[in-house]
Amino acid sequence: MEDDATILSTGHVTSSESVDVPSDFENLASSNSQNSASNPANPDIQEEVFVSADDQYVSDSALSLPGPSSDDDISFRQRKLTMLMTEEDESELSSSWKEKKSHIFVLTEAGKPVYSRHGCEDKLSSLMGVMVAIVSCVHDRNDTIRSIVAGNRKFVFLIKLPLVLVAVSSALETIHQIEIHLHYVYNTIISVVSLSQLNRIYSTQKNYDLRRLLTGTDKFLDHLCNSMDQDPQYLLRAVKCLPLAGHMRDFVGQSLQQSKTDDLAFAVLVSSGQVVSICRLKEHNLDTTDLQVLLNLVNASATSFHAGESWLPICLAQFNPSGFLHAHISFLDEKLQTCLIFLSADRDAFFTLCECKKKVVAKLNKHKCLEAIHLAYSKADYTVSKVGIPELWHFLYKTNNISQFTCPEFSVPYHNEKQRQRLFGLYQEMHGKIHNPAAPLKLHYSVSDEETLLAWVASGFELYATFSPLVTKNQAISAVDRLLRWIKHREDELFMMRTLTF
Amino acid sequence: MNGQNQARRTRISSSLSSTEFDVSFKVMVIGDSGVGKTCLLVRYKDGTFLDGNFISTVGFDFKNKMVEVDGKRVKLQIWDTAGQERFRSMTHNFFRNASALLLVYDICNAQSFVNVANWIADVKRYASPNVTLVMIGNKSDCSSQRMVKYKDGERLAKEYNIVFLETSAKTGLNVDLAFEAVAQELYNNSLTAADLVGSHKESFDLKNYVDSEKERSNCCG
Repeated sequence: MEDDATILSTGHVTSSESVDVPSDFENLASSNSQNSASNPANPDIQEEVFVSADDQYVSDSALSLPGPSSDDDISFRQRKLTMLMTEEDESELSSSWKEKKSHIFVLTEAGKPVYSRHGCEDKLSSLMGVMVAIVSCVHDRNDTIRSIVAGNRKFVFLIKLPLVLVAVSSALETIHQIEIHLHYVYNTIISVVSLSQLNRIYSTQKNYDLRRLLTGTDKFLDHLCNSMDQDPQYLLRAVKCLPLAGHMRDFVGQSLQQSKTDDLAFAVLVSSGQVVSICRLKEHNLDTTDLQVLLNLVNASATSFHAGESWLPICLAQFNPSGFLHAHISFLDEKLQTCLIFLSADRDAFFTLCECKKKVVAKLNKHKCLEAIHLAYSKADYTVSKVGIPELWHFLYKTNNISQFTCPEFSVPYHNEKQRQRLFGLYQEMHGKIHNPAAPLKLHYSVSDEETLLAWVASGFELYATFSPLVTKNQAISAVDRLLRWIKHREDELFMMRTLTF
Repeated sequence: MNGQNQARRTRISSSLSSTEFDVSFKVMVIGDSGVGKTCLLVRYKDGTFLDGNFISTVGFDFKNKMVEVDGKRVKLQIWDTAGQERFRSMTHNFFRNASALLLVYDICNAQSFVNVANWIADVKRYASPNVTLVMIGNKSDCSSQRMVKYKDGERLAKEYNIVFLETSAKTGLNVDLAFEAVAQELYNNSLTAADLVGSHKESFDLKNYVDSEKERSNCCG
C-alpha cells in the first residue's frame, strides 16, 4: 500500500444501537462533535476505524471537515458493517459464524451474493448490501476502497468489476497477504467462467446471478480458503515439489516430453498435491498462480474424478483470461494420488490425449517411475532431523527464480494441530514484516519464550527458520549456513530445477 | 417372445480386455445436475452405489465398458457429463459424436422432468438424426418423495416416441437393462443388410425389448 491514506475517526458504538439510519446519523454527529460523556447511551465500546483508499482525497476532506459530512456516511456504514459482524442479536448470523477468524465474501457490483466462505450466502444479503454501499460511497469520489481496520478486524476489499471480493479477518495476516488471498479466490472464479464470459454477461445483464454458472464450484473455493489458512504455498506463492531422486525426475520429464502431440500445451504430473514434473510448449510459460489454481481444482475434486479420465474446460487467468484451455485429467493409481494433467487449447483433443496418456504411462512403467513416485510419497516428507542441526525445529525455503519451496514435515514441538496453526501464524507474521510494502526488510530475527525465528530474504531465495528459544544469534546464523549448504546439496532432489519443453 | 429375449439377453464378461473389441459405440449420459447420472454409471460399471454426499461431476468423465452381444464384443465408451449450465455448450459439442444418449431425470425433482423437453430440443438440434435416445426416471426407490408419476414419464416418452424406463441406482433396478438394451440396439443398427442375410435374425425392437424386460418399482405412483 504505497500511497495509502488513512482517516481516523473515533465514535462510540454499542450493540444496542439502532441501525435505523436517521437517528443513527444524529448519534454519529453528536458523538463526533461532542464529548463522549454527553452520550451516556453509548458508554463502552470504542472503535477506531482506519480506512485506506487509493488516493489522498479521503484523508484531506476528513481532516478539514470533522463535522457531519459525507465522510460520516462512510464511517457510519463501516460501523454498521462491524456491528453486523459483532452484534449478538442479529438473528440470521449465528454466534459460531461470527467467531470464524476469517471470512471471505464474493458479490457482484449490484450486491448479489456469489460466495461466502462460512454460512449460506443467501442469508447474508443485508451484509453484502452494506459492503456494496461502502464500495460505491468511496467510488463516488473517484477513489477505490482497499481496506478498513476496526479494532482487531481487518476488512479488505478487492474490486474486480463486475465482482467485489471482501475478506474480513481477525487473524495475524497483513492486509497485503489478505489481498493476495482474494486474488487467488478471484482467479479460481475466473478459472470456471473466464473473464471474457464474465464481462459479456454483466455488460448486458447487471443483476445476473453468477451462482447459476458456478454451481458445483463451492468445493473448489472452500478447499482453497481452507488451504490458504494452513498451506505455505499460498503465503510464499510457490509450489512444492515431490522430493524425488534427480535421475528419476529426469525420466519422468522425458516421458512427458516424448509423448507430445500437436494439441498439447502443458503436461503436468503431480503426486499428492506436489509437483513431480512439468513439460511445456517452448513459447508459453505455466505461471505459478495458474498452476496453483489448477492443482487446487484437482485436489478439491479428486473424489469426483474417480478412476476414469476427465475432460474439463479451465481458464487460466495469467495464461489467457479470455479463453479456455481443456484439461485431460487422469489418476494413474488406485489411491488417487498420482495425477496426470494435460492442457490443450483444442476442445476436441480428448481422444488424442487419451492415446498420449497411454504412451506416457507405458514410458513411466518402463523406467519404473510410478513405483519410485509411490515410494517417495509413502515416505511422506523428510523430517528436519535429516538436516542434522539439533536446534533447528522447522523451516520454509523458497527459491525465487523457479517459485518452488520446500519444508520438512512438522515434528515435535509442532506435532499437534494447535501448535502447527500457531507456527503457521508466526510464519505469516514474519512474512508480513519482511514484505511490508512500506518498509521491506532483508533480515528479521526474533526471540520469544517458545521459539527463535529468523527470516532472511536474499536475491535468490527466502528462508524462514524456527529454532529452539535457547539458541544464540551466532549459533542460529551458523545453523542457517549449514542449512543452506544442505539444501544446495539436495537441490536436484527437492526442486524441479528445469522444466522441459516440447 | 419373452423366452427369445431372455436367450438373447446380453452377457457381461469381465474377463474381456478393453483393448480387444469388435465394435465400439459412444454413449452419453445427460440430464440436469443432481439427477444421479454418475451414480447410474457407477452402479452399472462397478455394481456399487455412491452413497453419502453429492459430489457433482466436474466437466466430463469418460469410461469404457465391454459387453457381449450375440457373441460379439461391444465396447461402450460412456461419457458421464456434468449437468451444470456452464458445461452445456461443451455437452452439445459432444452430442454430434454420440451414437446413443441416456436422458436422465429425477422422479423426486419435478423441475428436472420439466427440463427434459429442453434437453430433447437440444438433442434434436445438435445430435445426429438417427441417435438412439432413452429416457430414464432415476431414484425410483424414493417412492415417498416422488414428484413425477410413472404415467407422466410414460406419456412424455410416447409423445416424443422414445423408450422410457425408471431405474434406481441405489437398488440397481433396471440399470443394467438400460445400458445393455442400448448396446444391443446399437449393435443391431450397425449390422448391414449383408450381415443379416442368412442369419434368420428378426429385427431388434428396443422399445418392445425394454417394455418386456423392465421391472416396475414397488410404487408406481
